[in-house]
Amino acid sequence: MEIWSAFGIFVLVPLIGALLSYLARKYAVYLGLIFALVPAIALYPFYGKEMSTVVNIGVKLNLAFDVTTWFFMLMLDTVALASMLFATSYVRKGEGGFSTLMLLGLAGANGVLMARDFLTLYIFWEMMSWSAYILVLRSSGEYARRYMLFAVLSAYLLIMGIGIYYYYTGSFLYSAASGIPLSGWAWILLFLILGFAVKMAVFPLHVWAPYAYRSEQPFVAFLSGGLSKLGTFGIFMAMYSIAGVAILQGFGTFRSISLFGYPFAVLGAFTAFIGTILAIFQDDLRKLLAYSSIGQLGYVMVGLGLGTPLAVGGALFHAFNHAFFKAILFLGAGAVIYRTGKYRISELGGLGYRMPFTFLFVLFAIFALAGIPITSGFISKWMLYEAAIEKKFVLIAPLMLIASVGAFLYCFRILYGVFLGQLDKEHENVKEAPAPMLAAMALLMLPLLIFAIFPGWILKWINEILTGANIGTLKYDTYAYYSSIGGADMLVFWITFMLLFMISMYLFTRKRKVTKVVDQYDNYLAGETPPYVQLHAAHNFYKPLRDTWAPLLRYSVDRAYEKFVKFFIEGFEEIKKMYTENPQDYAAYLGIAFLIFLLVGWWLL
Amino acid sequence: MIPYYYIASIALIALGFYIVIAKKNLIKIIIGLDMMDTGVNLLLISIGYVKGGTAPIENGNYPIYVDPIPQALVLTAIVIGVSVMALALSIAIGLYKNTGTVEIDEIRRLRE
Amino acid sequence: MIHPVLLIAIPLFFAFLLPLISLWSKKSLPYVTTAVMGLNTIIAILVFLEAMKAPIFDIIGGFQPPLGIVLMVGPLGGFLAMIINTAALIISIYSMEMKKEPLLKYYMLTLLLLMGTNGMVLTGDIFNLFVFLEVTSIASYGLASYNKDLKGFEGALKYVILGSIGSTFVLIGIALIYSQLRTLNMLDIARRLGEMDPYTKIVAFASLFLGFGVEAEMFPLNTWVPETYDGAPHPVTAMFSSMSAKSGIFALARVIFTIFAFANYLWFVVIMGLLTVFFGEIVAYVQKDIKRMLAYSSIGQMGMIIMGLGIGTTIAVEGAFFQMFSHAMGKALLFIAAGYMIYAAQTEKMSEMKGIGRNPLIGIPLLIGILSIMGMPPFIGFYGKFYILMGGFSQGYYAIIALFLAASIVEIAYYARFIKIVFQPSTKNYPAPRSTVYVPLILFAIIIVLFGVYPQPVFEVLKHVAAFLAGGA
Repeated sequence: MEIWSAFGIFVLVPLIGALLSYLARKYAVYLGLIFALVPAIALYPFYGKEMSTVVNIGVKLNLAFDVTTWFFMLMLDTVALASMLFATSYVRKGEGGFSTLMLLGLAGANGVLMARDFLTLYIFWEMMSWSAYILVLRSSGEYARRYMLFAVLSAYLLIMGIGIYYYYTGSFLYSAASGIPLSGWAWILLFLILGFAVKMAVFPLHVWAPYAYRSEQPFVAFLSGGLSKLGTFGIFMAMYSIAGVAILQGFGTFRSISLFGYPFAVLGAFTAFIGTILAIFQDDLRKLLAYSSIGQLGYVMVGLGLGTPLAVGGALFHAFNHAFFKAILFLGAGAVIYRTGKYRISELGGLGYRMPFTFLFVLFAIFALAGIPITSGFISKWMLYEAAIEKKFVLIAPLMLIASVGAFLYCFRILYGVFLGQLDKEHENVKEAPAPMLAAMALLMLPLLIFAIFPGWILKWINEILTGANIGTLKYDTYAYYSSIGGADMLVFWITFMLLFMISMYLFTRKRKVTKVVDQYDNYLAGETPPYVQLHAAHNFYKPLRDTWAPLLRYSVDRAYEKFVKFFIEGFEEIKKMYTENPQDYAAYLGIAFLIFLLVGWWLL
Repeated sequence: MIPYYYIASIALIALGFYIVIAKKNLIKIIIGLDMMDTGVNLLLISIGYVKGGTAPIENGNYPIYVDPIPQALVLTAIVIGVSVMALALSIAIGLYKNTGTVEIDEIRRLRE
Repeated sequence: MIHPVLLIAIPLFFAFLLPLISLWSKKSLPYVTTAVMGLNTIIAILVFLEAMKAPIFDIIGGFQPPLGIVLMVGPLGGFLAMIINTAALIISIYSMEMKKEPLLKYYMLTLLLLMGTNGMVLTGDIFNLFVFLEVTSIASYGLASYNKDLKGFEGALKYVILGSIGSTFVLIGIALIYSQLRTLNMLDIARRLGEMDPYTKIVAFASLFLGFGVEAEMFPLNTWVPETYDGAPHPVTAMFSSMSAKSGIFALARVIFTIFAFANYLWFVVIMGLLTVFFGEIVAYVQKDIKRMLAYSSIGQMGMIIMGLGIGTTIAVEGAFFQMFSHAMGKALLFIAAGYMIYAAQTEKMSEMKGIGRNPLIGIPLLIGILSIMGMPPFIGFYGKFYILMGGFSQGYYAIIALFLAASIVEIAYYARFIKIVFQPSTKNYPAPRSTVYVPLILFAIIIVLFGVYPQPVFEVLKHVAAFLAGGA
């Protein structure tokens, strides 16, 4: 019965909520919040429970709940809750669509996490995909089609994988995987991983993301923070839970890394690199965050590909951190857009004085993104670096490190371009974001801080997942983790940090008495007082860097796809000419068809 | 092995089909369709033929009689064929009323 | 015991009673027709429930089979009859939108179409199948040219030419079978098929395959579809795609499985299905008119069903039958919506229909219909597609499935383009839909969602597929 309560709470409750919030449009956002709150709260008692059941609706839905499910649900449901909380002041009142579709997506996502056979997985996966599609359609209709095509591409890649699995086993159950030859596994895993990688926006399947992430910000926070983690979950599940380490190692090894996983790790490192480089040059805040998201999920892919306990643990941890900090960033961007109506970094600036709390939360999220140790983002990134360095991968580790430096660059661009620098005249009267928005961001910030102090708590869960999948174990205690080349001890760090912080605070407060705070005008214009000068140099940011990269930036995957599509559409026009609209031609086709039928018949006889 | 009346009926069908795909006049095309129909009816009738058989009237005097079922089938098929032809011709009339011609190419040209 | 013959007799009787009724009151014609279809639907449900227990053999005229004519209703036939009658009933609500005279003939032909399609599904006698095919076709020819404009006549002309060549081939096939086996009963033919001369058997099979392929919209026999669908009045288009196409494909299925159980011909059927999908979806992509796009998309869907039949494993044929159900419901919905859109936007061009779906009475059912046709769960379109694909995989048709999925992505592309146009904000004002438009839309949408979320009843029916494949009813 307990699994029924899990299925009921995590899948049926959001579904009912979706229906209700469509019917009662007036209270839709609040209903949405309540129905997102229920699974997010109810999740806690379910920790550590293992159960499974079969729901028969004509097809059998095999559902189960274990610690992996729980761990991913923790990210998804919390991010969904924060997004819905944010949406209460963001979305127009009296709109049923937003909450309905968000809750449908949430139900789909939870269903994916609970599925224990491919049919169920596919049903919930597609449900999540199309509700996200309609959400994209609502605000950025232009690009919804691109999202849909890639969502469907992902689904069809999954179908190929599922189908080959079905061919060998005659069953959709995950647990039925036995007796599949290695070549079969290669195809199954390839298709499944590629299918899930589309959701994670891994290069070169990432082109949907920058456009889809232009939609309504609370939804984008959920899409980037929550739904993209389903890709992580899927790859983890396909590689380590369905296939298992033994089969991956069966492909041969390279420095004890599976030869099957290694290419994906390289692909992940490339994704991290390319996503970061592209993010640096974006002027659209949302697009910058989108490329950054692509880059960050590249790190996760590296970890999943390498497959050592440290790497997979780091990947799961980083996915967890990414869910939270990227959701904060998108929500922060949403708050800025909500208050100013602008999303170009070059048109903003100085908002930190007007929106201090938003600034604070975004700052912390950026710390997490850049891997600065006062947030848990540091630990996960460090785990991933160590996993690559430990095995002496001279391609992956440098790419990741370069990407990390790039991340500083674009983080700085957000900080300076949006929150620091000169406040634009027309933004003089901008107010701080409404309370629900701030509450949503604060909620998301908590785990980043808590797990920075007590990484052992989350590593315990990750360790349970890793042992469950027979990958190995992590060495950790409450404040630290250890690896063969070091690890990270947060206790030492925090003590040092606090000491240094106090000393510098002391110096700062003492110094403050003798320093004079100068207006930006005084500082820049040497006493002259022109009526208004644009001092905010956010335009053409990083131009020298851009010029350096220009020869490489000419190549674009986007354009490659466009050319590819154009080529096919021209072909379609040619094929269309077969339908000449002359009945006599059609009758002739009929005659030819008859002759072919006869010939084939005789041949087969 | 294949009896000659099969060949005749197949020839009729082929001829009809040729007319359908080669002639440009709508009326001729419809005649071609009718010829195909007739060919099939001939085929059906000839299937039921028994050498030396008489009309299938059971009164004990004629022990050999042709198979009655194909004849029943052909009757039905003829009725159906006639109604299809009637509809085809009425469509031709409709096209003529709309375009003033029954030449297929003309009709296509006029529409564009 | 309900006689399945009522499903044929009632529409026929009322079709010729309508002129008398019209003498009394012309206004009542649509209601009488709808009532007749409602009655038929109830009977179809009863027949179906009966057939679920054991196949019904309804002997007509007192002659025992194989000599006499017999109606053979298995669970699948009953299921299809139920689908067809339900679709007819719901579409007949939309038919009340028809204002163009002569309405009397319109309703007569509709009832005849229903009678023909019912007959095709129910009959157990191959010549009767031909007769009902012709009844369906004649009614369709009449309905296709009902608008009496150039477009209608041109479409109907193509349909007449291809349809009558097709039925000629059906008759050739029947003649060849009869010449060797001296029987017309399907089960009898199937039992004694081994006695046939193999060459004659091949010719007969090719003829029947071609003949029913025309009605089942198989490539390259489907060339009539877009123009006929385009030229016909909107409710008629919905009927074509959800009624005649379904009876055609069921006849094809019976030719493939019940009559000739050719295991080694099946891969060819798969290829034909794949080609149908390919050409249907690709040409649909470049269409600019909504009804033509839907017509080509309909071809693609039928191709998927043919593929499912050709794959021939239990799971694939289950998928094919599920797909028949979902296509009948989904496409009827889309054609009705298209009819409203053409009426509201006063053009067939999709690019002129900006923002027409923002009215939720149209938009929500339309979205559900499109998602179902795309094969998204939890709508009924999903199960059919998934099962057909899995059946294909279990037979090892990897490359074919991969090509099919590529074509399917094209399908998603044009539907997504259509959705984008229909839902984008626009300042245009469109007339609000009347209840005769949105009631059928909502009814179809309810069916799509209901059986999508809980497909158990449908799968209960599809358990009988295995028996069907073994050559049963």
